[in-house]
Amino acid sequence: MENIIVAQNVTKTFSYRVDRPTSVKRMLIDLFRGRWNAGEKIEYCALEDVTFEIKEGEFVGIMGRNGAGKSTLMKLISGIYSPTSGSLNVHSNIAPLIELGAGFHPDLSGYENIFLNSAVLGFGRKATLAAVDDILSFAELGEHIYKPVKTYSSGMVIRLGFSIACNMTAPILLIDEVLAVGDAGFQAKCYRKISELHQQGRTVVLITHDSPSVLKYCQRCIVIDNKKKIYDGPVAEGVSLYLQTVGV
Amino acid sequence: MPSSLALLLAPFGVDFFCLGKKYLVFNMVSRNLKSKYHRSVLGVFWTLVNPLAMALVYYFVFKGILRVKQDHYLVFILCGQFPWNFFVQSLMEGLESLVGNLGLISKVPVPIQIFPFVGAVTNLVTLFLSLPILLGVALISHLSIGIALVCLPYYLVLLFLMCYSISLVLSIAFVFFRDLRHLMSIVMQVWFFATPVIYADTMIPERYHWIIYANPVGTIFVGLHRAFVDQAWPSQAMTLVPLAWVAVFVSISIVAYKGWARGIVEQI
Repeated sequence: MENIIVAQNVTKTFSYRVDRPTSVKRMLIDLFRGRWNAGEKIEYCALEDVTFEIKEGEFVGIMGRNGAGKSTLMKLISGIYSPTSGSLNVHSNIAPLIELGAGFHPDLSGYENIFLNSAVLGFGRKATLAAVDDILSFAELGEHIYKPVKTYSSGMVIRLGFSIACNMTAPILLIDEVLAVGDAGFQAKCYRKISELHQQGRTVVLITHDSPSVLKYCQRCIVIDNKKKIYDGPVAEGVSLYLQTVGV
Repeated sequence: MPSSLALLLAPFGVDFFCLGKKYLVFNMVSRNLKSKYHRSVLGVFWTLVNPLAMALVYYFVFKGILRVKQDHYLVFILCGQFPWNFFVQSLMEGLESLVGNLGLISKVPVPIQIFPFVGAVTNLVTLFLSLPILLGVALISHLSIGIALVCLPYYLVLLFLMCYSISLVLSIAFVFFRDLRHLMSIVMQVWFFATPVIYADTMIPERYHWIIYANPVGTIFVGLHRAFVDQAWPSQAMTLVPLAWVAVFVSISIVAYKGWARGIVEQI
């Protein structure tokens, strides 16, 4: 199998300025007084020298405690951030499930939001039309699908969001902690769907705190702690290492 | 084939005009229109009423009270007021387009220029809806609209490019300076009176004539008035000066979004 995600010495540093003028008014006053204050530049390193490869068709879990750098890594893989140094190459389309329903518009109906959301995820009209029946049947929203999304409960939003992201045919599925929100029945259904997609040859990257599901579904596990990759290998040891880092 | 075509056209603004994301642009524009108009004809009516009401007020004040000597003054105002309204709306909405879509930008990889672009296109659609009114009033006033129909598309394309490129720069600046909104409402107020929307360039005293040329959108409105009311082809200056201004602003905005395309997500 070929590598589909390759991260080489990826470092991500955020830089921002404190004390810089945050308004035009302030800036003009500063200029008028002859003091140009650009603020102090502060750098914060969120991920340091991370190297890994993910092969086509793998089911990989990425674990780490809060603040370890998981979400940064996630956003790097999905292309929202670009690495400060090192390189990260993704050789395929990706369906990021970072926050379900992020692109939903409250005034539009669920049905209209399917098209909007899949366009946001980078799919065209044909691909959406082909998947729309599967999306509807998986979301189980019944007639609510034609009501505005603002009338939905949070569970319904998640069902629709998940249904769109995993029924659109992207070769890589990137899942970040989103499944923790649904009820147990829907969670089980989502995991069934995810492993079904994996069986069909999709690559799945699951970023989570939930060690039982990593043990159950993942083939490999990457543990991140304190901005660095500390483990990459079989699931059982990875999970126990992760549990050590969180101090359980 | 489409991808190699896109690669070939890349230097000519495939990214800038979001051509690789046509379906997303289409969906976002229709989202905006649907929520703006609340799925009703009355919704469209309200967005047209604003410039119409203003036009009638100006007509009364300037024609009725100040006795401005300008033929077909209502057509004159309308052919300035509708495009001006498009300009202001795009800029004010474009300003907040990046910050307002933070939820999307930080969750899904989307090119940032798509937000001001979609805003400008949405307002352009509203402008198109107002054109029948403009053309209708022109016909009622017994003006022939032959020249106008050729000039209008030219100036609207230029004005659209102006709206889009200024919005793009403003939306990035707004991330860093959140008081820009207040500043912009003053700037737009001044800009309105510095632009020949409700008065003709011929009314301006000789020594202030430079203002029209120094105003990035000034010559566009002079050209529109020329075509609609004077029924004459705009002069060479009125054709080429706006083109030069558009070139300047488009270049500035391309530099701005290329520089910030990646980093802005981390700054919002």
